[in-house]
Amino acid sequence: MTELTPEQQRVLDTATDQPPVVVDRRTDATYVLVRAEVYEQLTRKENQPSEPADREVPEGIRSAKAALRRDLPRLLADRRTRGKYVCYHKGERVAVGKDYVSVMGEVVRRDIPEEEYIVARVRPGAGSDEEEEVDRTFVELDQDSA
Amino acid sequence: MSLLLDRSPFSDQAGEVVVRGERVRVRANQIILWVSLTPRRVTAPNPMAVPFPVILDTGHSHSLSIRERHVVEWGGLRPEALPRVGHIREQDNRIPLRSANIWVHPNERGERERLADRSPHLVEAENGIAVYPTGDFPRLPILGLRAIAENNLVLKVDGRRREATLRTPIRWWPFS
Repeated sequence: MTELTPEQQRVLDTATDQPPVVVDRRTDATYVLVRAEVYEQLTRKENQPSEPADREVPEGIRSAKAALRRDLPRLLADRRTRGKYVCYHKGERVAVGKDYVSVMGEVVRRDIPEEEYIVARVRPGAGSDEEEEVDRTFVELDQDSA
Repeated sequence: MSLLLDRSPFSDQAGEVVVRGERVRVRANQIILWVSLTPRRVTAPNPMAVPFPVILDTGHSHSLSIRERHVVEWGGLRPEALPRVGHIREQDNRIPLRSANIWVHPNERGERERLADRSPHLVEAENGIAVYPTGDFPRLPILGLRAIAENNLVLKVDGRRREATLRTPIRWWPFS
């Protein structure tokens, strides 16, 4: 913990309704001095904006992924399923096929709602819930301004 | 074997393409493909779809990245119709992955903008397409290396001729 300098103490003592602002001259970054209780109140979870429901993966898709992860070692070990496409509806495997279109055909035939299934190829990492870090690249060079 | 890109030229000069009446800049040395999107359960191309351009970028590590605005205005789809299947992280941003099928509309041999009278080719995006809800990235949608790899496609870039060819693999075994 860093102690306040006498000058900062004086500023705090004279502060009225606005918290004092301090500046780091090296970077010009500004900081607001507030009491720890105020900071805790501001950062409390219920004061944070929650993500709208649409921003999350539907429960049916999450359970389908979990079921695939659960079965994956067995699916990879079996040459009849390794490399094939599988469809999981919630927690249950409902189709296995050589190609994506035929498995999707089964999804349509069963009229499985969009938010309740996944179709994936049986390979290591299938059904992963990990949020992969991707590289965007797409750096554009405008020759006109060069 | 199907040709998705048939000796599509890429110029050393910037140019423009027109998408639904909108003029879009294509910079020098950018390989363009024309695609359309359908919801995942639609496994036939939409005959009414108007294809839009994407940049083929092998340095991009996802399958397709696109702005929400382009999904709506160019793809003709509401993002809510494409359920979220996960997220990716990119430069401290959490980007939603939405399920969709990508259809690549083949070009006429040697033509960048004239499309061939052949059926579009389905390119699966098993982990979903990345839909950027806000901001101005990507300026044009990007088809990344993941799409090429996961669909077993073969990309050939001929630097001398300034042409790119993207195709499905040649099947030597007639019964496979």
